[in-house]
Amino acid sequence: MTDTVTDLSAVHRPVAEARGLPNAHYVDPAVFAEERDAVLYGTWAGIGFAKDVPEPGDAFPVDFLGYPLVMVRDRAGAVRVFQNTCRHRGMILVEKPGRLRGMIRCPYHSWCYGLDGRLVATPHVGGPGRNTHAAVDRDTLGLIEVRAHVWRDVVFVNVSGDAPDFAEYAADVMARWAEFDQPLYFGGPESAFTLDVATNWKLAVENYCESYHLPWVHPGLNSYSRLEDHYNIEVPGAYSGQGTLVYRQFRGADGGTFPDFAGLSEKWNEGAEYIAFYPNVLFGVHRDHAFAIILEPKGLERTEEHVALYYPAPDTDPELRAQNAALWKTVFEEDVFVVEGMQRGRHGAGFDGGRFSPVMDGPTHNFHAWVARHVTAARNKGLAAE
Amino acid sequence: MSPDNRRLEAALLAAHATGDAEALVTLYFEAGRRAEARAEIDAACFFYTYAYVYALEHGHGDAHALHARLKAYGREE
Repeated sequence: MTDTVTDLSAVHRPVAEARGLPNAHYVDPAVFAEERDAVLYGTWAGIGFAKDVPEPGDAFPVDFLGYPLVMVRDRAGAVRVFQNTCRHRGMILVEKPGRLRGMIRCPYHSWCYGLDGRLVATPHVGGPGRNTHAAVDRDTLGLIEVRAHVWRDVVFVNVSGDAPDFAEYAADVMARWAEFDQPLYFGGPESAFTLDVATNWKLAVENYCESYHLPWVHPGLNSYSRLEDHYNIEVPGAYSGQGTLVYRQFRGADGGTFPDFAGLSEKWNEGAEYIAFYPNVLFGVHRDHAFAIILEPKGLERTEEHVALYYPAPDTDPELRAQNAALWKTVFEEDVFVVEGMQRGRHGAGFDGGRFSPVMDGPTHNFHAWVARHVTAARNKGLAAE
Repeated sequence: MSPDNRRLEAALLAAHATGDAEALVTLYFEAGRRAEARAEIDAACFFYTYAYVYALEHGHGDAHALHARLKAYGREE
């Protein structure tokens, strides 16, 4: 437990009486560390995209707030995540993304691991040219595998190892979007971009999951997507977001369109939904494309937003994809000053977490309550262990 | 050191400098064979180990043969 224990009682109240998370959750390194363990390591967090390890042998290292991980596509085609640490002297194994032709070789003493994590070779471990020793049991010294699950191309991990199974954790949102459970085709390099934002990662979640700010921050949407055309999505303990009833199928400059996902119900002709899947992944679905945003916390007050767009078919028009990516980039860039401004605002000690609109801010409160619940549970667990 | 072995050593250093995995496997394998021919089994297994590790890293087809030799001398599982 940290020395800084925040009072979360006001966060747990119903939205009309609640206040937001205290400032310390955005500006205090001790609380950030507590939240990292309870929320980011303790649940299922997104750390990368499966598209970044498309072929067997592809490896992609991830520094998850100091926790070294490596995503690997194994020979059978499955994405696995390991601690990126040699079992011998703790050396980092994979320094940069790339394709492994064979095994993972530690650059220090050349212990070799299969893509399934097995320790295969321990050169000279018994002396020069003697590669075995009774004290070095390879069967117990494979890479440490981290629980991982790929959903909608996002690689989720549960670092703590004690969260519910992903299928249970995500059951509600999977059921909600069951119609979209079909192949996604990444749009290629022009369909991915990263925004480096001076904010705590939670503020990006909070801004994403509510529609209240749309008319002010995204005035370009007002002409066809008015505030009253949106609805709140709130599932306590799971996720929140917003939906629109007036999504217009994307049309390029020459009138071209993307194909639709197969077999969608009528609801999606003009419907679209945007869900913050806690803790740190933002999803959007439309009849003709989808996206995922991984909020990668780089520190207390810095977040990288990794955006990737997907389509229902592998052979869509590249020019159209580029136009769609540019459109979304504009929208997401319009949000940057807001999340950075809220971050700076939380250095004002007099701010008390803020008062919510009971009508418009339910999705944000839902997220705060979720964070507070996990932090409180971790504190109680710590107390019980003392 | 014989001229042949000097050439082999130079080729090995060059392969290390350029990161030529194919050459590293081939040259260390050859160094091992030469040592084995001289009945210098420790030296042979030392070189075979290098060849084996680079073969594993780069998915080289000689990995199985190298593993078999090392195992035959009790140097591998």
